[in-house]
Amino acid sequence: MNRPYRISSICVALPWVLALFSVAATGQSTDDVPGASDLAGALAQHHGYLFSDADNAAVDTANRQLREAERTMARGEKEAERAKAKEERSTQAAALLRLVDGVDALAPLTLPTESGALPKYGPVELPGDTGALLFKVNPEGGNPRCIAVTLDFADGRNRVDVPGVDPDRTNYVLVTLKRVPARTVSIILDFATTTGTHIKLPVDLTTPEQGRLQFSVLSDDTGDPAPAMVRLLWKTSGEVYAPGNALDFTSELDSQSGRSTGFRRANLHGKLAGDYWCVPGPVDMSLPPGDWEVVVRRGGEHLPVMDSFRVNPGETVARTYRPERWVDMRKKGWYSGDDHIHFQLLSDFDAEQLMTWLRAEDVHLGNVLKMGDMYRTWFEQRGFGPDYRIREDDYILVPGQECPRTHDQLGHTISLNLTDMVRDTSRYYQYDWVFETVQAQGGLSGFAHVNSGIFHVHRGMTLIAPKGLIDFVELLQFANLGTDLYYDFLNLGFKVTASAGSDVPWGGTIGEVRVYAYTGRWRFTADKWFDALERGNTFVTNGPMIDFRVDRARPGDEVTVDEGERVRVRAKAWGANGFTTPVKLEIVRHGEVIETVTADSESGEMLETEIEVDPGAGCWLAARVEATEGYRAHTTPVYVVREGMRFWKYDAVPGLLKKRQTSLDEIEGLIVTALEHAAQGDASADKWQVELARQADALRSRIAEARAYYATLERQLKAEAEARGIGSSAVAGQ
Amino acid sequence: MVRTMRGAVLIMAMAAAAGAVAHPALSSLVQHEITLEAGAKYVDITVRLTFFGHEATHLRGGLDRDGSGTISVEEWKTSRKRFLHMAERQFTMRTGAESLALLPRFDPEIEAKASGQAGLEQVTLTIHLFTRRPEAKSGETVLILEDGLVPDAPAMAAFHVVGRDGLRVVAEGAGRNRTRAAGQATPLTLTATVYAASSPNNQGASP
Repeated sequence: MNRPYRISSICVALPWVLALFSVAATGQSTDDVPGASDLAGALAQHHGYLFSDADNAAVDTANRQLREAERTMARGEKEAERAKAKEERSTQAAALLRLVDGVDALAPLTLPTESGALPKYGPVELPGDTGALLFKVNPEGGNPRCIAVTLDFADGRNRVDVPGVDPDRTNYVLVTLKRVPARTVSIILDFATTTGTHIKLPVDLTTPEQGRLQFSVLSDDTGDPAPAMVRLLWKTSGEVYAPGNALDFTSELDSQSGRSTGFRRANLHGKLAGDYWCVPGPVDMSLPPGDWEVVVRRGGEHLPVMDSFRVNPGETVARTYRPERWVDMRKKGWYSGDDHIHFQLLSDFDAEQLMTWLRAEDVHLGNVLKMGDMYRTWFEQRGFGPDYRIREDDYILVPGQECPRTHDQLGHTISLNLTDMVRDTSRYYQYDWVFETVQAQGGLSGFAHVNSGIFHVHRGMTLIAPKGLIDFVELLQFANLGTDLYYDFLNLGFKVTASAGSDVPWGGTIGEVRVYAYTGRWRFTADKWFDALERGNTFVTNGPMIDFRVDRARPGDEVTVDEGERVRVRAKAWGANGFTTPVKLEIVRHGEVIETVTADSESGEMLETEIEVDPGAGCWLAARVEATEGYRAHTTPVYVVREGMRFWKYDAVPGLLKKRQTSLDEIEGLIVTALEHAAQGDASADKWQVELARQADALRSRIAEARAYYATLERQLKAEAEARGIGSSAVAGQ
Repeated sequence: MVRTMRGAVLIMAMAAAAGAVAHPALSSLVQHEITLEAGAKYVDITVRLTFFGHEATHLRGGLDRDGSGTISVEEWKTSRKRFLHMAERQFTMRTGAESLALLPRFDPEIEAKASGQAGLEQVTLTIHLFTRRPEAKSGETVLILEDGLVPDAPAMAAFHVVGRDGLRVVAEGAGRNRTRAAGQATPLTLTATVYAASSPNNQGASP
C-alpha cells in the first residue's frame, strides 16, 4: 500500500530557489543527473525483475553508455568530444529515468523540511529474499539525481542510511535489499539531506510464501540416486542458490584458498562455466517463487542437464534428472583420475564428504594430498598406505603428498601411493631423496604445475630428470594445457608421463582436468591405476577423449624400430556433442605438428586420422586435441626408439642443454645468496634461506651430478652424429 | 557469518603491505579468478580477488576505518573511487598494440567471511569491467589481459571464458602465477581469442 506524502506550497517554492542558488554557487548544470550510472548499474546487476526483457536490455545499454560518456567527459582530449559525451550522458540519463518512471514499484515520497520520522510505509512485497525499494523523493523537485544504497541483512542491521538527498531536486533512490528474512521484516530508512536534516522512514517488507523444489539426480548406470554438481539460479536476482542439502567443505579445506567451501567455480568454459554446489542426494527445499534455471553435472563423461521451471508460491515443483553418458571410458579400459586434491581426511565424516564430491564429478581415483612447505603442513590425513585408501564401488581415494613444495626455488612436487609421508626439512631441497624414498615405498613422484611452469619448476626438473626419478608431470590444470617445458624434456630424450590434477581448493572442482590411465577391462583397482601411470599409459583431458596408437603401442609404450622401418600412427578424438566436440586433432612429433585434422560440417563428434611415419633415428609421437571453447586433451607419447640412439630431437639438443645449464646456474645463484645472508648473520633471513644455506653442499653436489649428466648427453650427441649421417663439424658448430 | 561490505583501494595498499611483511615465509597467494564474456557488442570482465588468513583480517580492518564493525556509505564511497582508479591502472586489456578502455560496469563488491579464529578469515573483492568488443576483418580477435592487481603479493590466476551471440572464445594462460619478485610487479598475462560467428575457426560456439 503506497501513500504519497505532501508538503506545504511554501516549501514547494523554496527548493526551486535553492536550486538556482546551488547552480550559481557551483556552476553545476541543471542537466546533470548525479548518480545516474550508480543507479543504472545497480538496477542492471540486481533488479532485472522490475523490468520487461526489452526494458532490461535498455537499462543495460543505458548503464554502459552512461559510463562510456562519463569516461569521455573526464578524459576526452578534445572539447567537442567532451561536449558530445556530456550530451550523450544527458540523453542516457533521461532514458534511464523514463524506464524507472515506468516501474510499478516506484513510490513517490515527499520529505518534510525538518528532521523527524514519517509514518510507516508499506508493507512492500519483495519477490523473495532479494529485492528493491524504489522511491522518487520530492517528485516535483526537477533536476533529478540518483542515489543507490544497499542493505544486506547478513550484516545484522535493519537500518540503511540514504545520504545526500537534495530537497531541491527530484531524488531517485534505490535501496537494494539482500538476504531478507522470510515473511515480515521492519527496517528504517534514514534520509540525510544536503541541508542537514534527517528524516526517518519506517518500512515494512514482506516476502512471498515460498515454493518447494524436490529433485533427484539419478545415475545413468544404475538408475539410483547419485551425487551431482548443481547450479540453481533464481532468474529474478541472477544469484545462485545453495540446494538445501548442499555440502560444505569449509572444515576440510583448511581455509587455504579463496574458495574453501562447497561452492565451487569450476574451471570450465562456455555453457558449463559457473558456480556449482555438491549435492549428495535428493533435494527437498523451499525457495522463493519465480523462474529458476538449473544445471546438473556429473563429470566429463556425462552430458549436463539444463532445465528451467517456474515455482509458484505454496506449490511444489518435482523433477528427476538423469545426466546421460556420452561415453563410458571404463568399457574401453580407461579410468579417470585427479592427481592433485587437497582435503583434510581425519574422520569418516571427512571421507564421506570427499567421496561424495568424487562421485559427483565421476572421477574414479582421487589422490588426496597432504601439503607442506618449509614451515608446516596442511590438509592432514589419517594415514598413508593401502589401509587408508577409501573405496566405494569403482571410486577410490588414495592419500599422497605435495611436499617438498618450494615456491621460489625448485618448484612443487607430488608423490602418490605412499605408505608414509616423506618429509624432512633438513633435506627439504634434496628432492631426489624424497623421490627415491617414495620409490622404495612403491609410490610414484612427479612435478606439479609443469603446464604453466610456475614456482620455477624447471629447476627441480633439471636436477631430478638425470636420475630417472620423474614418474609424471602435471600438463593440464586450471583449464590450461601447457606443453613448453614438457616438450623440452621429451626432446632431450627423457620419458615423462602426462598427468593432470585440479589442485582444489585453488582449483575449481575435482576432475575439471583429469588423467585417464589404461588399466584394461579387468576389475579396477588403485594399484592397477598407479601401474598404468607408471607405465605412462595415460592421456590428460578437460573434455574430449583420445585414442592413440603407434602400431600396437599405447601412450607410454616404447616401439623399437630398425633403420628405415616406418610405423603406423592412428589417432581418434571424440567429445560430447555441443560441449566438447573436437575441432582439431594433431599428431605431434618432437613437439612439431606433422598431421592435422580439422572439423568440418561432416565431422560430427569425432575426428580421426591414420598415417604412416618415418621415425628416422627415433622420436616421440603424441596426439593432442582442441575442442569447442578451448577444451583440450593430450596423450603421453609413444617412444619410437632405434637401438643405440636416444629418441631425442637431435637438432634441438644443444639449445635444450643450454637451458638446463641455465636452470642449474639459477639454483647456484640461490645458494650463493643464501650463503651471503648466513655469512652476514642476517637474523631476518627466513627458514627457506637458512635451510638453503645449510643444505648448500648437498645441493651443490647434486648440481655437479646433473651437470655431469648433461655433459654425457653432449658427448652422446657427438657420438650419434655418425650414426645419423651428420658430419662432425656440423655437430661441433652447434 | 558472511558480511557484505563495499570495497576500497585501501585493499591494494594493505595487501601490498601485509603480503610483503606479515608472512614472507608462508605461501600467501592472492587468488585471481577472471571471467571474460564476449558478446556481439561488448566484452565483460569480472575479476575476483580473494585474500585469506591474516592478510584478510588486516584488509577488513583497514576498510572499517572507524572500527564500527560495518562499512558506512561514506567509507565505501571514498574507498570505491580510489579503488577503481587503482584497478584502472593495474588491470588492462589490449588487442595487439591497441589499448582498450576498461570501464567499471557495476560497483565493486567486497565480501568478508569472518571467523572467530585469526588466520581463517577471507576477503573477496569483485570488480566488474567492460569494453566495446573490437572487431577484426579476419573475424578473429586476440584479447590480451594484463592483471597487475595486488602487485606485491604472489598470485594464482584462474581464467574462464564465455562466448555469447554466436561467438566462440578460447582462453590461454589460466593457471599462471606471479611469484613474489622483490621490488618488481609482473602482471599476469592472459589471452583470449574471440572468433566471430563467420570465422572458420568458430565451431560449436555457445548460443
